[in-house]
Amino acid sequence: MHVQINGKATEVEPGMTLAEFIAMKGLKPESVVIEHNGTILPRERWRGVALTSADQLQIVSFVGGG
Amino acid sequence: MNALTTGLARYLDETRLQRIRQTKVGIAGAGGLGSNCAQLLVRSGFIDFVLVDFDVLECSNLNRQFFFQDQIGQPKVQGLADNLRQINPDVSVRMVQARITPESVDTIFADCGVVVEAMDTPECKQMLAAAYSRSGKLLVAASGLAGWGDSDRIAVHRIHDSFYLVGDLSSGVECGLPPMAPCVTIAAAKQADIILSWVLGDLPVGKQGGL
Repeated sequence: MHVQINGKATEVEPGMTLAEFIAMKGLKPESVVIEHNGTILPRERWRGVALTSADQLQIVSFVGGG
Repeated sequence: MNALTTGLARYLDETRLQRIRQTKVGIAGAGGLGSNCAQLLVRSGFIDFVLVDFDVLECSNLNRQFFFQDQIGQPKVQGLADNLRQINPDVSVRMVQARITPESVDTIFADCGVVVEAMDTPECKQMLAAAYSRSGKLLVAASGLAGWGDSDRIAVHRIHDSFYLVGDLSSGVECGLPPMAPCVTIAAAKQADIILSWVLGDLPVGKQGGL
């Protein structure tokens, strides 16, 4: 299944949740902002959202320094 | 008119200058990104700021931040406000010497049209970005500006029409890379340029992306 992530079609296991996707990518949840179909999704909700092929995601993962 | 505004009038017409003056900019963090971005915005004609930083100036800040030796020990928000007024005495600053918390983040920049994420840790950057993406304000954040070399890696990423992210997205200080003046200042300058372009109506800029 393909999901639009940051403007690119990305292969994702059907039924995978957002929390599982972030873990699979090796990203630290506390450094990540996810926009799911144009809405910011708080971290507590990632486990309850299964990805579908209609989804548009923007994922930003921050690194430190300023 | 002071010397800066007299000089600026040579480059920008009154309509543009007015648009710039009327934009209130909130800056979260008065470190390497925030102090340099603020300086460039003041030189571009911005005069209305909210500066938030809990910290005082230390020796280890002088390698990249817009401060001077005699300001060591001063609150950064005070030192930065003083330095900005050296460039333009008409600058108005609401100084907040405090940490931004999950309780305060949503309201601290309520009166600003633009928010600059200029903080240190990934967790703080995340908190600010989650609060101000889709807030109706322009959000300009930064991620990946440590180290030196290959400075073209510090790119402008358009996450959506009102959220821009500057950096290479991977060179964090947690990778053991020190924050050095050239790349930190490049990132701060790109943040300032996005804001200027947005205010003058020349966006979108940059390529789409974010992971």
